[in-house]
Amino acid sequence: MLNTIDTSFDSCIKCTVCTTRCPVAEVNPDYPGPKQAGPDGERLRIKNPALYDEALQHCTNCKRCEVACPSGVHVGTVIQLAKARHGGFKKGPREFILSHTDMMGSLSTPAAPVVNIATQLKPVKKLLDKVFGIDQRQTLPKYTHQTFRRWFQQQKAQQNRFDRKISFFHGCFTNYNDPTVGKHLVAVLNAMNIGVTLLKKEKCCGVPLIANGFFDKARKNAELNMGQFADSLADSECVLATEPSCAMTLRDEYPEVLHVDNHAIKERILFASAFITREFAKGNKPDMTPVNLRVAYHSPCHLIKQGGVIHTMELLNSIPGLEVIMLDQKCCGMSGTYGFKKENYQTSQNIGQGVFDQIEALNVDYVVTDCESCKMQIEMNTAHKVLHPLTLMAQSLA
Amino acid sequence: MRQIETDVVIIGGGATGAGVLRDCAQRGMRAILVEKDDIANGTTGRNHGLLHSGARYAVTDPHSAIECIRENQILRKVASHCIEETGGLFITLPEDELSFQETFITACTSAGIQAEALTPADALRIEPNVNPGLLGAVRVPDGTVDPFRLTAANILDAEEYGGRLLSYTKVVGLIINNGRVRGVHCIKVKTGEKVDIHAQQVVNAAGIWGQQIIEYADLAIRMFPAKGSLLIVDYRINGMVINRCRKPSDADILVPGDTISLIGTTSEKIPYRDIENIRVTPDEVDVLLAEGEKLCPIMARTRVLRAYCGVRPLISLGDDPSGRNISRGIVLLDHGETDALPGLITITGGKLMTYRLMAEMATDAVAKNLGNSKPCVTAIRPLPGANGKHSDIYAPQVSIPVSGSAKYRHGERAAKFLANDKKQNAVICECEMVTRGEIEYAVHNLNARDLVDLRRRTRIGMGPCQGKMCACRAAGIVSEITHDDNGKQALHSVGEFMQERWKGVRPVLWGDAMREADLSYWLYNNLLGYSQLEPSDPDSHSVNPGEAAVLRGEESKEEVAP
Amino acid sequence: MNYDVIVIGGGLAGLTGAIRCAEAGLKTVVISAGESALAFASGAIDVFGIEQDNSFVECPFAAIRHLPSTHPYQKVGAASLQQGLTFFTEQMAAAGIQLSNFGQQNHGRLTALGAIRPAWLSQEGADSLPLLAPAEGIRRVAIINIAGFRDFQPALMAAGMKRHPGFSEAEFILADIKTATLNINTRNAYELRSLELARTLKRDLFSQPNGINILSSALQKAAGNADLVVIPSVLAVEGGNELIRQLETLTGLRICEVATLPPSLPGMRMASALKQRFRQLGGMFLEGDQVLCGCFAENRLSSVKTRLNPDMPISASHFILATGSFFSQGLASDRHHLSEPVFGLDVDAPDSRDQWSDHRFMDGKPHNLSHFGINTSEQLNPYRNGQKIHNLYCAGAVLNGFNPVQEASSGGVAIGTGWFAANRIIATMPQAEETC
Repeated sequence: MLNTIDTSFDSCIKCTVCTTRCPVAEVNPDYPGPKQAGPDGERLRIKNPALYDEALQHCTNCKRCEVACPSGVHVGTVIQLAKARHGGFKKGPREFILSHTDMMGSLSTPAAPVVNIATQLKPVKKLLDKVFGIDQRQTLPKYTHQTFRRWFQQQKAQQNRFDRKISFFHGCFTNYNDPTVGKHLVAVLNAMNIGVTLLKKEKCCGVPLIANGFFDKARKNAELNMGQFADSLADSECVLATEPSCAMTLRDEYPEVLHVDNHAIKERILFASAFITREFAKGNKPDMTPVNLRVAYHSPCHLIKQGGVIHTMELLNSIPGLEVIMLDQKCCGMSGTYGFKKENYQTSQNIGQGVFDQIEALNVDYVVTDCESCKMQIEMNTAHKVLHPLTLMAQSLA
Repeated sequence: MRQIETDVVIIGGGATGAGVLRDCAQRGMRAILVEKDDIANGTTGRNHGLLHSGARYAVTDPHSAIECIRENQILRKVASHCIEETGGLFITLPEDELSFQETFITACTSAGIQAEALTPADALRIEPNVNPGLLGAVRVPDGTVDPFRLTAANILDAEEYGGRLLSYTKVVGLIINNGRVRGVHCIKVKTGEKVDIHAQQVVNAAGIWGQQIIEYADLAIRMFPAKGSLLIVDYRINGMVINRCRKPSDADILVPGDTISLIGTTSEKIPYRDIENIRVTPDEVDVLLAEGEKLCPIMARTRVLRAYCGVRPLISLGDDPSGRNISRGIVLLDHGETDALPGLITITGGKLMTYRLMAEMATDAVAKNLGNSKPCVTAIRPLPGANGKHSDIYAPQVSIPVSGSAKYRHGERAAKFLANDKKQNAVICECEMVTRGEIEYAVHNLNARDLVDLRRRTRIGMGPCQGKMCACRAAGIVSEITHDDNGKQALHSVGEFMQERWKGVRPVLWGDAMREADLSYWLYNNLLGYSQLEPSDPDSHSVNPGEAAVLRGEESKEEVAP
Repeated sequence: MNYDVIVIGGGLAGLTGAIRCAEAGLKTVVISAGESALAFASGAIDVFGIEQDNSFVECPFAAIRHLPSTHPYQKVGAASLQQGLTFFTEQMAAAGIQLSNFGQQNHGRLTALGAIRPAWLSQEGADSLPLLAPAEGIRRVAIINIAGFRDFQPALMAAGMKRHPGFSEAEFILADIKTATLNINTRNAYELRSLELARTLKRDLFSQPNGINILSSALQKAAGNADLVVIPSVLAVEGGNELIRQLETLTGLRICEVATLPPSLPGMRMASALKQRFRQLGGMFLEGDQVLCGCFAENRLSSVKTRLNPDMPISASHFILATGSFFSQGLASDRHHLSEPVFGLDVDAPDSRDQWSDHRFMDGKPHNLSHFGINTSEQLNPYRNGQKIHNLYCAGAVLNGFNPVQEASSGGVAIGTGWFAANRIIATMPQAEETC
């Protein structure tokens, strides 16, 4: 099944625009860039699989090439599928650990305080660096002791009181690492008279699995999740995600990369700010008090890819008192698990430098972004705290 | 006037002529090949590049089938870098008679062609894009052959044995003395210079143009020109050659050639006077697409890169209006025996597959007339590039797609240019992965004079962008290494090259090919302002006689194979 | 979601119109299906430069009066076109790019193949030549490549320039400033594209305090006492024009940068300035999404559906369609027809494929397909099934009736029609601030 070729490369008119947007090619000369790695290389690989170029491993699947492409070529997908077809993924223990976020989460959260202390300790970080190649300069995400699902157990009764309901695909990070955004989503939706339910069971959307080449596992997850969506949509209006990469994967990567058909319910899988702004447009807008802050908004690659920046900007602009400065739409360089890998650390930092510099030059109270991975990278590399748009909105409800 | 003296002069730089040049040189004869354009510019370069197993002719023409399988096995050894052993399928669709399959297999077997019936499921497994509605398939040892590189390799080898190529040299008459052909009168197409070549034997290997050569001797031969049109799609939609399992018909062969696939061939009888002015018509495009989609339905959704056509050089042996059932048999005429005009030998008929055999036959005749008794070794001695040892070429700085493409095209000779040199390793044609080194090699070693010639040696400009991104880059390199007239020729050749590409694109100008051409037009005429440099009226700017000749020649130049 | 104006297409025409709308206080979104044609453009603005007989036009505003009534310029009018160009010049200046013109006359833009193309506005880094006497005062030309850049061929450019009678006797100095001189350290400098080379120079050369001096003395050494020094536009995207000016000061030479095959840095510079300006004015630039279709009622367009969020149509009271030509997918073709793919608007085009183009690819005569496009009213409203769509305006290369390449009019038509469309919209919107 994964041998399927994405034939959109046939529409490439060799205009080179993709090469101007690739954050990896900009800083890493070993990466031949999206034109060569994608549509140019694909014709050669179809002719002869031996012409596969190992340098494709440098692609972070940020999809900026696809956003820039005026010909509708799924450049990033072409590259991911090529990597899968030609064994272009290194799948060692490190990749397993980094990509199996839900498994690691469920193992770590019960012992969160210990794990969190341990993973911040220098000797441990050194060990992870040496043994697994997880760069010691990176701050590893902390685990929460109380998962989001556990917290939500106590909200169930409250949520059941609402007539309207949505299902929340919380994703691994909200569940195992930091439930804050999930809690804020519940608060915001409740203020709009909408209740929240969770899926009976939820597996990682698959984005880190795809990025590390675990396509079979990603597919299994996708199939399980699709089954769960079908069930839950019987009693709820739609499935919402607060993490852009989750939303992109559920909506676009399932059919394009994993060949898991979602067309029957795709319209009902939404990024949270898309749903909220749609409600605003219908007149369902909660009372909001001014939030007198000046913030810089960083648009995550995967939100740009799914056309969602327009919704988040609409949401932020509707918060009274908030001054939003939109940063140049550049990549922060983290790309999920990519920046954690030792060999990518410097590339990752170089990619993000433009974003860091721009933030530091602005006099803002906070940086705002939708993506947890961007948040980590920006917080590690600037003096600013990073908030999720829903956090600001929740704040404005008070 | 220049006078040149040699043993053998060969007219026509197609595969056959190149093969004769090589064979003569290897047997120790002094030989010169004259070609009015570039090598492989005629029918050699305008077919589907199918390495026949002979299966296609097994039922209708067993003699040709046997010739094919024999040459097929030879070429796999001696021209391995020009050949890909893809295998072939003869598929039966619901509109075909499945019973023909048995006739077909029987005929193949008796011609010595391995033919194995496959279930539709097996066929789909090995060729996922084949029409899933097929009723059955037969696997045969078909393959593909690159006619340009095959011809170039023959020339290269011939030159290494002392043979000579004079390209862009047109034969304008035969030197006949005392009832004997003693050479040829030529004119250099680009400069107008006259050259006489004196030789003891003249070999007419000019294919369809051979009729004119024979007419110079006041003899008559009846050529039967049949136009065949083909389409090239953007990438390889099929891994194996796909034929219909029925009697040969229009547009029923889909061949994976290098990075592309091509569908052919139509057949239309044309008057001899029209052979220089053939074009692919919209109706032919429609037929080719309709038939191609039956072989591989994905063709309907694939970009057609270009269309081209060639003329089959058949000698009339009967009254067949389609021109298809004429035997592809080889015709060798020693005019000393047939027309009492010694010194002239015509080799024609046949097909690309049998070029080597044709060359051997013609050279045998030449050798006999010259008293040369050395044996032919072309069936056992590999061509340059086919010596099979290129895995150890050391090119650590070159990426796999680049070095792999270079070795695919030039075999072990890729070592000549895959240097440890950044400038040489810079990719110039990004669609087909041609480096500066390969371009320099083709200019210095493979007789490439301009961009159009280069394309036949290297594949520059043959990918989806059709030269848009590489024409200027390559022209700059050619100008630099040939020290041409301060870039003047190179600048002109950019326009010539884009025009040559355009001829193939224009018949298929829709969809993404239209988008590509639109961008190309915008870049060359707006961003670069090319039309300000070379306006339509040839009198409005100074053109030297050589250029004018090129411009006129260009008008009659047709599209050339992939 | 609801906007005042939705602009479909983020190229020169779309952004000019969008900036005008945003400036007037209208809530405006640009939906752009990928990068626009500006990435392949020269970065200069041509208005009308070549007559049908291939002669150059000196005064475009006078010349356009004689165009047929179907030409977009006749709909926009010379006065409005001039206002639009002034507005555009101001907006570009606000975004940091100075455009200059040559009095009230077209000037000559030197191309990378040594041709002269007529232009009206040029960026400072590109030296404007007198259109009819480009070689005035130039006896020695130095054409200098940077670090073996493969998309610039000094010899070809020299050969092209020599075709002009004025340059035929000029002395040409051809040279290349080597990678080592410029401290370039990368995998293979000979394969860098223009933008990649600019980034490499930024990192390896201009980051050093004396970087620009290294370049200027190398230029000086290579160019000698040339009257004009031509270099490919590879030095910088942002600040590229200022860099050329600095180099001129340092060397005392007259330097001209020329746009190269894609990506064209002067074009990219213009594109990013326009986007930046639009965002500064509060506009929303949505890139990578594509309008699939619209919802029409009573000959008005009410909302559009996009590929990424088809379930969430975006509505507006007015729309501008500026989707460009075939390569930008503003126009589409199949084996038998030419069409407008977004809304299925009426186009004027013969159906026979053989009539779409000419046998010669580039000889100064236009191909028929270059003047194909959408039929519009005098107000640039298109028709759908013969019915005029009142709140939809078309701008730029998607329009019919002009030959952007042959006439050298692509920039002027884009700006003029984008400006015109925006003003039509503003005139009907009570909340818009009439600033102009």
